[in-house]
Amino acid sequence: MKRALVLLALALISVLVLFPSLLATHDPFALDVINRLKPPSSAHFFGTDEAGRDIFSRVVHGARITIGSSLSIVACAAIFGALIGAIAGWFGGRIDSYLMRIVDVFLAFPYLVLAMALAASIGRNMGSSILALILVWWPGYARMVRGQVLSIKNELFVKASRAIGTNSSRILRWHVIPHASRPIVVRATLDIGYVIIALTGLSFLGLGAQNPSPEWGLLISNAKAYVLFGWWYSVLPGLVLVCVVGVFVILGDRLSKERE
Amino acid sequence: MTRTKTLTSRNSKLPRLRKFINRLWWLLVVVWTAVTLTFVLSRLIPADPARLAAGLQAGPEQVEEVRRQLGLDLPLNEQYFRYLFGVVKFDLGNSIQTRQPVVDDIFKYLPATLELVFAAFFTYAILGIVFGVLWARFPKSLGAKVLSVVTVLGVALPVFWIGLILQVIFAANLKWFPLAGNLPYAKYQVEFVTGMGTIDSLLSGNLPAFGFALKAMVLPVTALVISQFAVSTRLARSTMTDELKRQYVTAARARGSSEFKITIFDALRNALNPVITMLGLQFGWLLGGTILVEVVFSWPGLGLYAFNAFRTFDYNPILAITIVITITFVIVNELVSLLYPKLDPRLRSQ
Repeated sequence: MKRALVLLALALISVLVLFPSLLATHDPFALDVINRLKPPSSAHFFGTDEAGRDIFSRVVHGARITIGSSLSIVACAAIFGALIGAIAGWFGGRIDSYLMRIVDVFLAFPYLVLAMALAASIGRNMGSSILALILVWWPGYARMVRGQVLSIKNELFVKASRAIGTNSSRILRWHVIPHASRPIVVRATLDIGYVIIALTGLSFLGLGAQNPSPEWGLLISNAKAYVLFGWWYSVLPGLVLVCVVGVFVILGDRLSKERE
Repeated sequence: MTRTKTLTSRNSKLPRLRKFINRLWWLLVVVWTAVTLTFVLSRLIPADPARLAAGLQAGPEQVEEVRRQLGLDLPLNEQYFRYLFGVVKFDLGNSIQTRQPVVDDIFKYLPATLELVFAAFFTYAILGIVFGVLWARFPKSLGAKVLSVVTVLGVALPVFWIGLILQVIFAANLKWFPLAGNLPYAKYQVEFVTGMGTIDSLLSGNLPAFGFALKAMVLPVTALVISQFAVSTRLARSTMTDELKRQYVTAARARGSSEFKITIFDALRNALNPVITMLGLQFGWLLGGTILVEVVFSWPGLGLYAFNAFRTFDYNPILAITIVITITFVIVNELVSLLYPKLDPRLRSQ
């Protein structure tokens, strides 16, 4: 039952990201100043914003930007971090200690503050927030994969494989990567949720997507000026955001429990 | 007897000093990385800070003039070393926007931020431990089921959205708390001493002002607490659950010790170390979260200052805030690690 619910939610999110026009009821950019800040109705499910745009359609179209960017951030951070971690763990010695020192420096920062500073320094657009978040997110994966690789390296089957003359790249491909990949996937699932929160936070501060993009953080940031006149503007898009993050967090939670 | 005593004291003093120096060195490396990374990235981008500082009306000569004033006409490596030496001398440059030295600005805005951060930190630390312990102690109760749902939801809530929801409900509709801002000093005729509304109003003996200052803090602090509560509660619960399964708990029970005593004096004490490590880390996240919350509630602290700097490409404040927050974060985590041996006698001998 719960499983079906999670799968259903994932399917819905995929539709949101891949085919937003199937769900959107209006053009997300169409201005209609006469109908500005109208409460939710059958014509506008989530009401309208300060320029009369349909908030529901904007949320639907924003999903691709927010979720898509978060997926790419997690993917890049996981791949890069895993690569660094694997190199450090596999070769050990001096390479390991240098790489891990860099990782430790990165992990010593409060990540959100560092991401804000980086995004602000690179320039205020979606690309800069994405890059900033990849920069603060990869070290966690490097640390984790290094630990994995270190423990697998000393397993009997790897030693045996090496004893019969298998070369490093083959051992990595057949033994190390399959073993290390599952925890990466679990962590990445949880991280998608956290990255969505961080990314929308950056856009909320004006460091990410710029108007008139329907990116969720920016959308809610625009809504901030209208808390007194239109509760729906900030509440409903945020509710969708929370649900999406919740799906990834619950999924990640279940995956990590299954592993145990 | 005396011989062993001097030996141990000598042994314990030297490594401690070395440890301290190592830590200081580490702090420098971390801060240096922050400075260098942001500096390099900020100079890679095409936007022209001199153009922005000079304003839209400025002609080309004025922009050049501003560029010279800000030292932006120098070669990059010279700019970098200038900046680095400035940091060493606690001179973080001037803010383009406020035209004040950044260090002065930071001392002006930091107290308001600390007021929020400390209030939130102690609230969720205590709540997290209390609810975590209760959850571990009564895992089959209704409260435990509620907590398991609430804490999953809790990590999924973006702090800025919590802030907006609180504004919609408690400020816009119920009107229980002010919508934004902290203590209006002029209105209540309170003297600006520390920059923390609650303390300043108490110092001037102005009770209505103190009441208002407290009221203004409720919503931003609640937003921060809600965003962090889930993490601390879940961790407190999982470490407590592990501790309650240990043999010493069974032994204490067999001796006839009361359940309350076992939970609080035996298990909780052993469970505290990982919880405190987590709280230290959370303090760092709190510093990031405060920026968002301050923007939502127009709270005149470092976060709002940072936000205005972001909007105007004002690099010096951005770098300075990164440095200040990083140093705070590293120091808090160091203090936390100093706490361990105090809480756990097993670590004292090491």
